Amino acid sequence: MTDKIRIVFAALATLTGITLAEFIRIAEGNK
Amino acid sequence: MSDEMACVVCGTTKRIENHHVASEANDPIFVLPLCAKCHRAQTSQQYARNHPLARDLARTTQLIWWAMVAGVSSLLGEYGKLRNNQDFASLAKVTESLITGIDGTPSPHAVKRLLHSVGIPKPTTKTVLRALAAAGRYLSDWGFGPGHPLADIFRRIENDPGKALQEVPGRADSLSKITKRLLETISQYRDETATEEETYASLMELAEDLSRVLDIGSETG
Repeated sequence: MTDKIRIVFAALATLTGITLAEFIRIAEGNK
Repeated sequence: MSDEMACVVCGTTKRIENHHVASEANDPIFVLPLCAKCHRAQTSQQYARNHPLARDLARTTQLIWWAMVAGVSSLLGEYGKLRNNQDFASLAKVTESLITGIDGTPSPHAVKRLLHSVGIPKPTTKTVLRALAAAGRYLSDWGFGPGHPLADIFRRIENDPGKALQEVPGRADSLSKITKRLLETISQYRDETATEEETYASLMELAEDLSRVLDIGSETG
């Protein structure tokens, strides 16, 4: 795997984590 | 890249071409080897999804980021389709959902809409969390390598999404800081004010901070 795609996957993993956390935050707000 | 290049989608070493994942106009340096057949398929998808291909377009970091993610999402989808691996198809959908709305901000509602469109009629919070965690685990394993704390958190959330739904004090503040840093990191990489090594190191650090924000406690404890 090239460094560049490793960077994109790493950035996407981070973005997925942020989305997941945002989702939890919204779910908490709806409680 | 090695002398003997293989197509990143189907693996053949015949008739290898350079594929601009985000399209050349958006990112001339993000190039991956694809065989002629897979290259044609990916380019068709770029046209089909109205990929911003025009060279004279005003390009924001978010737009370029969108194009990159869209390109990676297409590759993942095709990779899974060829191997009849539904996980990859779902992963492509979830990845795609991250960029819905083109502004580059995470969109949890878009995730729900997309899960609905792939046949989950009423996605519950837990199914969404599980799908996102599964996607995150794949991406983290490929991006950071196995064993990164973020991959471990994703795996635990996948196994027990209910446990993730607990309040963590200060989470919102930490998250908005991490989101801001992520966009800055991407922006600096784009502007070439940060090298690949520096960008990768920043991402590693960001992901470690994020894994602390997402921490749901140990499995045994």
